[in-house]
Amino acid sequence: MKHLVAESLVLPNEIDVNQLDAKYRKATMNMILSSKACENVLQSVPGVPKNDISVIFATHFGEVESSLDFLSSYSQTKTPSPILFQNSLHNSSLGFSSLVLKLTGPGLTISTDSLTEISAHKTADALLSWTPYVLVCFIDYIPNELISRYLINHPYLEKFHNRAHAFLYQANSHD
Amino acid sequence: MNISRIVGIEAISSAGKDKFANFKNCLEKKTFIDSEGLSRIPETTWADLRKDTPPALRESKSSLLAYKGLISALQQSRWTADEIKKCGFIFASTTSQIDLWEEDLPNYKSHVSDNEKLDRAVFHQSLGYPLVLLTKHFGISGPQSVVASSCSAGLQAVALADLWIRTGIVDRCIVGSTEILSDLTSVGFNSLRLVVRANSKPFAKNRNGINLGEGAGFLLIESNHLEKKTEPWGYISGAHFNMDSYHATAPHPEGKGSAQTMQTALKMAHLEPEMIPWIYAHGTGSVANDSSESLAINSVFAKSSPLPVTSTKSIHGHTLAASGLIESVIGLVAMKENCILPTLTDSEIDPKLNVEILSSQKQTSVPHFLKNSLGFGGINASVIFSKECNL
Repeated sequence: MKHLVAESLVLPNEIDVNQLDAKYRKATMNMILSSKACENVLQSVPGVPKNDISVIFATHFGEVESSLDFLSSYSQTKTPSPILFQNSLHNSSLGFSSLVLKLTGPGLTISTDSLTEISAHKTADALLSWTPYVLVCFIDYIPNELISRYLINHPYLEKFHNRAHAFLYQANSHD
Repeated sequence: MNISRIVGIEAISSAGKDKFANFKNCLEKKTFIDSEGLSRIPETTWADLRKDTPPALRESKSSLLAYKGLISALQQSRWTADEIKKCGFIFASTTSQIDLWEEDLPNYKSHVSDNEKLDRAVFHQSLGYPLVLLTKHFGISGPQSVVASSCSAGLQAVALADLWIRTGIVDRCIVGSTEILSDLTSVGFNSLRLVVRANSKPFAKNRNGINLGEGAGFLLIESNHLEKKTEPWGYISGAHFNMDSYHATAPHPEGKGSAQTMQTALKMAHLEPEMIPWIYAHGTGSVANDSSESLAINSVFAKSSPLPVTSTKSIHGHTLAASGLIESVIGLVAMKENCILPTLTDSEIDPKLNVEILSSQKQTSVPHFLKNSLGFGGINASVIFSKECNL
């Protein structure tokens, strides 16, 4: 099937937002964490064309902070923020990372409740028939005020929340 | 090689409670867009849909639509209970059960909502929850996934299900999608100044924005190596998706990514571009989408251009993730009826786009059609549907 080429775990306390490159100016924490984790694993395959890598972003709650900020600011001010809206989609993190890292291969975002991890691996296995490499990035960042509620209602989130964990896989040579 | 055979289909939208009503209204160019530029499923239809639906599945509009769409498609497939239990299930949505959380959850800082309401909202926020409910109800235990890649999610789900069949991960797979109109989407798209408060004008010279809609689409696919128990609606000959790496919300101006997905899907299908008689476009009616998509089509289908290209989004609105599935279903009915659908655009077609937009249906042999989707985040998907199994 597949073997692991590289992995990278990035946590919020490792990010100094004041030191980030200008391209991260409008980025959410999901976008920053996932792009950094993906960048780290891609350094292990420097010569591989970017369309030879399939990318799966696996997230349980996507850009939840932007979604809630968009709706709450609109409810208070009646003036919607286009930036918050475009950052609110589950797919925004993948879109941002694909821009920053110039990724042009197959890419998708999946969010399969408690089965997100299993479904990401099943999808990775299938995508290795399209490209020689698959990058899987698990990303979830929940606002501090809400994390306890999310963990009570979705205990499977304990393993994934407030971190980006990227894995680069390659198909086994005999496949 | 395993090829995906389509044995059950259903579509529900503002344009109809089933695939035939949706097809008929697209054929007759009967529009369901209101003065806000939105296309809502009427309350009378919601009331009808709730009848005979288990309580857990009618709590949210998303689960209700998914249940009704799936049960109708399953009846056509003639899959046994044991076959349903083992099949795969790929669902697609960008907002899922948003009707159960968008009122309370955003108030978590202001304490307007009480703890009970907040917990209920958090519980229902998972995009995958309709899939959890449906797999439980139907006893499905095969591989599952929920695709959330913006407006391409539905067509990506079709491509992924086809890949699961081709690679032998499953023999049978359900692919479904729902999208419900919500404040997040209607206010959000308005904030980007993309929604037009009238009928959209796909591919017109003066096109100026999109309409939003809601609905569900379902396809049931199985390997062509299985015993054929029902007359298929068609086959999936080729499918692919990729990323533009160009802009957060705008498609690549030359349609480079979209062109590449179409080329790869053609290669998978072993078809030359001249063999495709019809493209069922994403065709949102926005200036950027229709320009980018037309350039992509012209670059791939240069020898056969101008090629008949259809958008039905000015009939039922843009149903975001569900659009790829709803429109695939309508396209499969049209292919069965040997018909290329018209486009409702009461304006001069943009000559720069170099596409043939039909003002009325065209009766002709339709051995294949290609369906496109483009989404925020620069995600493209293309699927080729064929009347017969080509490979």
